[in-house]
Amino acid sequence: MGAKPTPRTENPPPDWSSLCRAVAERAPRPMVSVEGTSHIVRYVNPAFCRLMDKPREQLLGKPFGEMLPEKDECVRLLDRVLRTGQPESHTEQHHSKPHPVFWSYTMWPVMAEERPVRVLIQVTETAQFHDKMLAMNEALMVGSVRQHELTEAANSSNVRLQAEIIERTQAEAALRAARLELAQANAALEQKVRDRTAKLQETVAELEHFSYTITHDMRAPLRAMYSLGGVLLEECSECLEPTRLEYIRQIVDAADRMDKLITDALQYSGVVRQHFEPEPVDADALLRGMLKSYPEFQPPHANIRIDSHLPVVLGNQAGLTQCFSNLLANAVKFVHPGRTPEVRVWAESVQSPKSKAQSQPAEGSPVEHATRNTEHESVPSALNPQPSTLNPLVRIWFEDKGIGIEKQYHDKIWQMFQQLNKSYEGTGIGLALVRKVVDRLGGKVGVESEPGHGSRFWLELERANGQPYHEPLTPDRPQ
Amino acid sequence: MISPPAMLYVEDEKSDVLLLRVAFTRAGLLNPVHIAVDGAEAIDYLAGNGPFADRNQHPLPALVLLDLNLPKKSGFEVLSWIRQQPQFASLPVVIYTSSVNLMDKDTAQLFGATDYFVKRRGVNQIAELVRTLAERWLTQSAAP
Repeated sequence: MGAKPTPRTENPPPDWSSLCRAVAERAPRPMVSVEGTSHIVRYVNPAFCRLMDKPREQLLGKPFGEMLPEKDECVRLLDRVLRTGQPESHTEQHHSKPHPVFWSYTMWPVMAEERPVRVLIQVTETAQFHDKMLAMNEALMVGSVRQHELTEAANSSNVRLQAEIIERTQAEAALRAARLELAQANAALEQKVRDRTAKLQETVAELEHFSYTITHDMRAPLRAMYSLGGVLLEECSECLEPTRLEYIRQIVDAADRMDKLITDALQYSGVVRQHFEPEPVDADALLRGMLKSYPEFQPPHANIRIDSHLPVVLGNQAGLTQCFSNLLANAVKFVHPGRTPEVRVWAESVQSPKSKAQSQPAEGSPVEHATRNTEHESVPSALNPQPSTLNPLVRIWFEDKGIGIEKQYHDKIWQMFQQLNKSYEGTGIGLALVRKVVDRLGGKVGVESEPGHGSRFWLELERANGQPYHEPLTPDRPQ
Repeated sequence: MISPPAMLYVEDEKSDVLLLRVAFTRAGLLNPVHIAVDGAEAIDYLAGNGPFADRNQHPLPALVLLDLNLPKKSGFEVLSWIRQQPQFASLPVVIYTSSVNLMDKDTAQLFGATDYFVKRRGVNQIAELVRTLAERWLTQSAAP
């Protein structure tokens, strides 16, 4: 066997075959010699036997390809070496063994008669990816350590989260319980309110019945005292001495005052209790009807003139009837003894607080020095000069030439049971009633007055149809 | 001689009855005034129940003056009973009450009251009222 082409020399050639064999037998690397197109193994060295873990006898005479992990490329290479006579080397790219060992081959042709007849193969088992595997293993190790750390962290945060969830669940349960308790308390409260309201309504109904009974039952005896006393006064004016007649007169007057007090107080409490739904009220028709039906508002008892057509206002028929009748009754009542009351009524539009200046009396008016110092309103004018609606306002004036009111009392007269002058009969409820009614209607009341120069009372209300009010040009407007 | 038409005054308040009688005298009216002191008695009187069957003693009135707040049966109950009787369909029934409640007035109208007056004070004022009532309802020609 020889690894080199056999040179032609004159000297007897050295025994390459036995030399090669000696080298091969001692070579640390596995070596194989194959022959022919089917690559029959003709020689294996001990290293190859160790590699294959088989005795030589089991390897010789068999095709080399059968012993290989990957035979295709190696067989193709062997064919080429046998064809070309050129040495080749090859490293396997794949392995099929459980552990990653790669074979590489170095092939030399053995020439005879200028032709390759055998191939000598040296096999090297390599494990070139081993380091990479180690690195990968290490990386995997590191990865698994990291994974372990992450798992630990996840576990501990899970524990924390679970604690939080429990805490939150408990809080929610507590909240639900609190809400339930609150709802129950609310329900109990509402029931209590309903019960109390029912009780109150019952009480109110009882009181109303009581009021009604008072009007009916208490006024009947007063009617008798007043009326029969009157009969006595008329029929006994001759037969009774003046002192005794005076006693009877006092009884009649007392019964009269008592009756008026009862009716006025009941009227006031009715206004307080009553809910006024604002409705269009024809102030003009209301006032003219009133003048027609009460003799005390007609000549010769009084001269009352309506100087301009009063508009339709947002009010309440019953309430405004009470207002008008009280204001007219006052205007007629509070005059100097022996004088016929002179009363004028008119209306004027009020656009804004500034336009109130228009309502100042003209030059030469008996109340020219009067100051506006009383104004009762349901809302403070400084904060809310206009009422909540956009309806134009109208002011209805009642002017008399009576005794007038001192400035210091302009506020007081609107209070309940305030009577400035006891020489005029009354109950001290009339103006309080007027104020209460107008309050209820969302309007204002006011007065301008000076002692000896008469008084001007006014009511300010909304017009019903939203149209501004234009005073008709009447020649007899108060000058 | 035919006696002048009678009036039935339904009133529980004795002083009001007295005042009306005085007012009748003041007004110079000779019409007999019969009194029923509660709503039930008023219906008995008009229906001729019991002692009221005697029409010589208790003649059918030409006018009923009716208070509203009455014992046993209210004025409205009496009024509604009267209007259900065919023979009293056109009998003048004037409400005379101390109630100034507008709702009472509306109710009275609804039940078929002929007129509505609030009780007056002073015999002369009452006399004036009964004179007006008598002129309308208690003259011979106005009698049924």
